[in-house]
Amino acid sequence: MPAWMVARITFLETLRKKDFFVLLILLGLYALAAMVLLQEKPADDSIRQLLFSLGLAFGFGAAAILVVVLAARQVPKEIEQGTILPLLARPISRWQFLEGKFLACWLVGVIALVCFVALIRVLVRPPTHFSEVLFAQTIVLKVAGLGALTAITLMFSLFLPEALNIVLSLGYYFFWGILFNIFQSALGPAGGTGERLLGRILYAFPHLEVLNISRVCLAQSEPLAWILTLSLIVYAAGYAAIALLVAYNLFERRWV
Amino acid sequence: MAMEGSKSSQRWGIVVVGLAFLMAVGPLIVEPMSQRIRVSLMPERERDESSGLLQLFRSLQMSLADICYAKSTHYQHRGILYQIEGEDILGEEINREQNNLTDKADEATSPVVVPLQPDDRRGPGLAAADHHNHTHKDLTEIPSPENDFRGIIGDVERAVKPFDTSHVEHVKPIEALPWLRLATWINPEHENAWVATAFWLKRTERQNPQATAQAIALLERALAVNPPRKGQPYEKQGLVYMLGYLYLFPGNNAQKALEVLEPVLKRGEEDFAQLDEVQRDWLSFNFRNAIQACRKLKQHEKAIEICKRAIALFPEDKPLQKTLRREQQLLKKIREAKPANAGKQTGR
Repeated sequence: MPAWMVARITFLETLRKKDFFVLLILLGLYALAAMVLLQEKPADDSIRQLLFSLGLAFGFGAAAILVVVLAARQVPKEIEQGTILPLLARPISRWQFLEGKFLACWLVGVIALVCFVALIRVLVRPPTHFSEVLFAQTIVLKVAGLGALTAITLMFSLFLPEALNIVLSLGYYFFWGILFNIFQSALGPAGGTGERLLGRILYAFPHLEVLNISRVCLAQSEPLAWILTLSLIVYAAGYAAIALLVAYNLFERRWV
Repeated sequence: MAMEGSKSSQRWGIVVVGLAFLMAVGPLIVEPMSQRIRVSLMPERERDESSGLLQLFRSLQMSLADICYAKSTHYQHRGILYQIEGEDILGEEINREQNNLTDKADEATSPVVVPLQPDDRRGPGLAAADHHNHTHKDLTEIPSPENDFRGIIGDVERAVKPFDTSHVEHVKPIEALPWLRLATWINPEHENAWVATAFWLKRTERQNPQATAQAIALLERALAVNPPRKGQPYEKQGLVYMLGYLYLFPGNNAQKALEVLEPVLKRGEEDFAQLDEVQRDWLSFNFRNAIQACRKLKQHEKAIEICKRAIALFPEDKPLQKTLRREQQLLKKIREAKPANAGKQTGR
C-alpha cells in the first residue's frame, strides 16, 4: 500500500536523524538521576511520586516535541530538496503522501512514548494506590493526543515556516489549556449572548490538554469510565481527521 | 480513494461540519476531564501532590512571592539592607500598636487602678510589649564594642560600615506596597504579605482618606481567596486579626469586628494543638481584639467569657489575665451602679 510505503521510508529516515535517540538518552539520564535519588531515600513515598510524575511529564513532553519537530519538517524538506517530485511521480496520490507522513511521524512518537514510559516505569517504582488500568488509559489517551498533534503540525507545515510551526504547535500543545482557562475566566460565567458564543467558539479549538491525564493517574486509583475514555479517543481522532483533511485541501492545490 | 475523488468544496464542507460537531460536543467531553486537571494560581495541597511539574511550579511561585516580600522588608526596615538581628519591623509595629490600643482602652474604660503583680512592676505597656516581644534584644549584625570580642577588627568594621541611613534612597515603608501587592498576587496564600499590605496601606490615610476602606476591601478579598478548608487547621489567623483590627479601631465598627473574629476564635480553639507559634500569636491577638470589641459594645459578660477561653489556651498571658480582672471590675461597677439591671447585657 503506497501510504505505508511512504510511512516506512519516512520512519527509517527519521531513525537515521537520531532525534529519537537524543531524547532517549536525556530520559535515560533523568531515570539515572531518579535512581540515585531513590537510593538515597528509598522509603520516601512523596519523592517516589514526585520522580514518577516528573518522569511521566518529561516522557510525554519529549514525545510531543519529537512528533512536532518531525511533522513540521516533513513536507517543507521534501519540497525544498526536490525529493517530493520523484515521490509524486510514482503512482502515489497527495492524500497517500500526507497519510504516509502522518503515520510515520505518529508511529515514531508512539514508539518514543512507549520507550520513555517503560523506562520510567521500570526504574521508578510507582507510588502506592496506583491503578495499572488507569495507567494504560493514560498511555492510550496520550497516544491519541499525539496523533492529533501530528496531524495539526502537518497541517500547519503547509503554510507556516518550519521554526514558526514548531513554536506555534508546541506552544499550543503545552499552553492552550492555561490560555483557555484565562479566556473563560475573562468571559465570565454569566455573560451576554456574544460572550456565550465566544465561549462556545473556544471549544472549536482542540483541547489536547485533556488527553494528558497523568495527574489523574497519580491522584486516584479508580480507572476512568470507559465511555469517557472512548469519547476522548474519538474526540482526538476527529481533530486529527479534520486537520489532515485541511492539510490535503491545502496541499492539493499547492505547486511543488 | 474516496477522498481523492471528492471535490474540494465538499471536503471543506466536511471540515466545517466536523468542526461544528466537535464544537457542540466539546464541552461534554472536555469539561469532565478539564475539571480534574485544571491548574489554578491558588495552591491546593492535595491536588498539587499529583503532579511533579505543578509541585515545581508551586515552589517557584512561593519563592517568587517570598522574594517580593523579602524585597519589601528592605523598605519596611527603612532602606537598610542588613536588618538588625531578630528585628521584625512589621511585627514590632503591630505589637506596639496593639499594646497601645489595649492600654488606651483600659485607661478609658477603667478608673480602677489595678495593682501590678510582683513580676509585672514595669507597667502594663512594658509588660505587654515584653510578652509579645519575640525575644527582641537589639542585637546587631555588627556588634557594639561592649559585645564585640574581635578587638581592632571590630573597630575597623564599625568604622567602615555605614549606620547612617541618609544615603538610602527608599526609606518609607509605604513604598513597599507594590512589592507586597505583587507578592499577594503571585501567591494568594502569603499571609504576611496580605497583612503587611493592609497595614502599610492603612498608614497612608493622611494622603488617602479611603485608605482604611481600601485595606478592609483588600483583606475581605484575602479572606475570600483563603477560606477555611475542611479537615485542615485554619492557618490564616493573621488575616482575620488585621481585618478585625481595621474594623475595630480605624473603622470604629465593633459589631462587625466581633462578627469577623468570633468564628475564627472558635476555629482557633478547635485547631489549637495543630497551630504553630506564629498562628498562636495571631490567635491571642484575635482574642484581645474580640475582648476590646465586647468592651466597646459594653458586653462585659461576653468579654469575660472570651477572656476565660483565651486564658485557657494562653495561661501564661499576663495582659489577658489583667484584662479579665479589669472586665470583672467593670462588670461589678456597672452592677453596683444599676442594681436593677444587674446581670443584663447592655451591649447595643
